[in-house]
Amino acid sequence: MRAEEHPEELIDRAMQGALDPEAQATLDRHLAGCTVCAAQLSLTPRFERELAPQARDQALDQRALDAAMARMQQAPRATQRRAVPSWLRWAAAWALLACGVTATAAVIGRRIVLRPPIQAPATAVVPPETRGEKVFEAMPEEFPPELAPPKPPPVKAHAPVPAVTAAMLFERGEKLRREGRADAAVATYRQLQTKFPETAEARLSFAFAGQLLLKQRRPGDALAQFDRHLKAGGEVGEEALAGRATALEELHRTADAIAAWKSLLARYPGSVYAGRARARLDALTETR
Amino acid sequence: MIRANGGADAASKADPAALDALAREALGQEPEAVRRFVLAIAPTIRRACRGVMGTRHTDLEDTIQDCFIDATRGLPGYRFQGNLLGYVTRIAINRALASRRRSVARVRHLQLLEDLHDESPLADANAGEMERTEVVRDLIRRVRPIQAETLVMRVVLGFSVEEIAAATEVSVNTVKTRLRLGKKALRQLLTWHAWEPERKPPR
Repeated sequence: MRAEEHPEELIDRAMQGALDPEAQATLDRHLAGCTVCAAQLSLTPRFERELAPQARDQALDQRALDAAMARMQQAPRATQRRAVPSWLRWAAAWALLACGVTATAAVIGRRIVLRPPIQAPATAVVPPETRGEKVFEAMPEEFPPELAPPKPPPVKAHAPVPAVTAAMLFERGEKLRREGRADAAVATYRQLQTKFPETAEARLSFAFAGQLLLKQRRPGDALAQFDRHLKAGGEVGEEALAGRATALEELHRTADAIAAWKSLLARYPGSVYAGRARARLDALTETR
Repeated sequence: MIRANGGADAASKADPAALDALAREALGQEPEAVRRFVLAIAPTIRRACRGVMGTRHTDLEDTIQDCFIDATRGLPGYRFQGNLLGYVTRIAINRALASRRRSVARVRHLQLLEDLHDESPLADANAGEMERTEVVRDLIRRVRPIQAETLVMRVVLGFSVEEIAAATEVSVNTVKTRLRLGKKALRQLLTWHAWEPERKPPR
């Protein structure tokens, strides 16, 4: 086998656990030098877990289907484009070209006309004894009218500055959070949640704000944020559930905390927080 | 699918003839027929999108939606000669790769996960594996599109070489060539990324 060839068949058999020792040795030799095949094999269990059917799949499909159907009915695509004769296309192209050339010429001509005339420099005879620093000191702060340089044309007002968007607020909150300004970050996230409650940024911000509040030892506020993230069907449900359970523990609501950890395990059995959830469940059950 | 349980989705077991019949009905654009067709291909699309984008990507649902529309609108151009699920899988992979490429939300999402895992005392040993999965996903999207599509089918979705050939309607040798080139490119990216294949997550 050449070095750049990959033993795809052996990899398949290895995944099924059907390799004899000789084939296994061949595969091992290849894996020792091929990071990609090694990564492929080592990450397979992770991909399998992620791709296995999940409890919320049906709801996800249904939501996406409803939205897709609505979009397709709103904007049915034209099935056939009307044929345009080629002479008409050429005529349109020439017309566009002519318009473009005319417009460009007009703009350039207008700029030339509007350009202020070049004025001859004002030559003031300076007596030799007033040269040097004294001249500088004697310069008036404002030019006399006859020496004043031509004023630049007034700057046209630009298009209005775009209003604040959910993405901008989210970025601002992120920046503040990274700078360690937790209060300001939470305030920004709250602003985002109030102004753009339906956006993906707002949904994510609940999880962020909850995490920050948890760190600030404000479990009640954190709990409210995590709950809102979960209610909105946020994307980081695992993190929110884990944060929620922690907040409940800090509020000494042991029974609720146990229920929250159990809920996390039930919904995400393969979660990165599963180990932690089990440990906390054991500890909480013991203390009760 | 070759994996023990990774391919355990309803779509992979769907009857091709029945699926073709649903697709033909959906060609008439009658809403109920379209709905039935989309529901039949939904597991395949979801699986491919999830494989490329990750389970918790913020744009996952939108991308699945887009794939439903693309697959339905692409039906008039489908020749009903090959593997319809392969055709749908390709649509989903390419749409998901495109979403991932342009998604700003992805950066935010990764940042969020990274921060939550860094800051939270809750994350356990699987965090390292999760990070490595994200790295591989992220690097695959940087490979040339046709090779990326083949790599996703092979590495992420667990297709065999023959299954990829059937889905993409090319020869097995072409698939092997694409895989070889794709893996070569991916290996360079992994090397640049200082990938450590045997690294174990800290306990």
